[in-house]
Amino acid sequence: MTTLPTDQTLLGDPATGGRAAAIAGAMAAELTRAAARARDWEDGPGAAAQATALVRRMLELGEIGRDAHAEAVRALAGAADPRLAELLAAAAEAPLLICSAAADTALLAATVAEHAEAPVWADAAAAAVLAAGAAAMAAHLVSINLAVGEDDRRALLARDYERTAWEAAARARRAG
Amino acid sequence: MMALEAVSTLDDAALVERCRSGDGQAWRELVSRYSRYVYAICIQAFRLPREEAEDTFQDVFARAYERLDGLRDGSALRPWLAQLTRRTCIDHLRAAARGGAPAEMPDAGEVDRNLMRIDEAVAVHQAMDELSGDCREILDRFFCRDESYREISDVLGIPAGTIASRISRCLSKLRDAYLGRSEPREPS
Repeated sequence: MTTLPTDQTLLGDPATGGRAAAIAGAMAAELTRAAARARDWEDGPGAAAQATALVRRMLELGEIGRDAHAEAVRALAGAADPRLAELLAAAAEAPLLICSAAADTALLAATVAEHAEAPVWADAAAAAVLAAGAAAMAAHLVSINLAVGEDDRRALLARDYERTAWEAAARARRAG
Repeated sequence: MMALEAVSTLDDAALVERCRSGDGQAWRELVSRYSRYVYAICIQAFRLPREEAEDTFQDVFARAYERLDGLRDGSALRPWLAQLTRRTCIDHLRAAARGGAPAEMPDAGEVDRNLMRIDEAVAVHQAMDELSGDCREILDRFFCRDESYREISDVLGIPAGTIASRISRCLSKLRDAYLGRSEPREPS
């Protein structure tokens, strides 16, 4: 059985929701890449290259988001930091970008699923569902940010990305 | 009288010929075409500090101007310039070491690997130039600017659901253009 050593974590320290969303999204993109490569079709190499770019993008955003989150938490804990609003806004930006990249991953996975055959189709569909989950996590983090109101542009965008991701996931599941 | 063909459209062999005949405009095009390449070798392969890289860069093109007649095959301009830049960087590092400045000669294997990466990057750039403007833009937006399908869709007026397929088709064209020009060539 594979176990994680107790002094190591999947998410690093500190573990944050944004980092978890980014890693889930990156896993979905990696699964999409594997599915795109599994069958010889015209757009396969291009889809795999896009998936590779999305893996890189989400891992970078996970790092950026973790740093921004840590700064915002420090500012919230401290005495009236004049940069608080700015730091909170910055902390909302990374999850929004993760949400967008996860929605793109779900769209890409759905395209791959539509061109794949069993059992690869199942992997592409699973990647789309995982990506949609990552988009939902990231959208949630945007919505609960103290700098983001319900009708804020970022909250609306995040909800839109999440909807796009779930629609793509449903498309991918139907593709089989 | 010299042909009035725009120098920017000339291939390397024709450009070298025009330079040899004393065409100043052709020389400026040669420098412009390869300035980033030479600079990248100085900075990335030999890790010269910026100021020293700028001096070396000037030396490389001064030597290239003097020695262009010695280049037998003008189509081998790029590897010839790479070798000239390599020698100039080494001369520069040796001179710095003789003068007592802290200069570390990079590992030859590492230089080769970095040169290969730089060559690949240049080949990809040149292959990009052969693509349509639409393809160049869509690839640049997705891979270089990290824009989302939605952003690309909004800017280019293309349905978001078709962006992934378009990127794949453009990448396929890029691969064809790249493979068409990536055959290795030795400096003459």
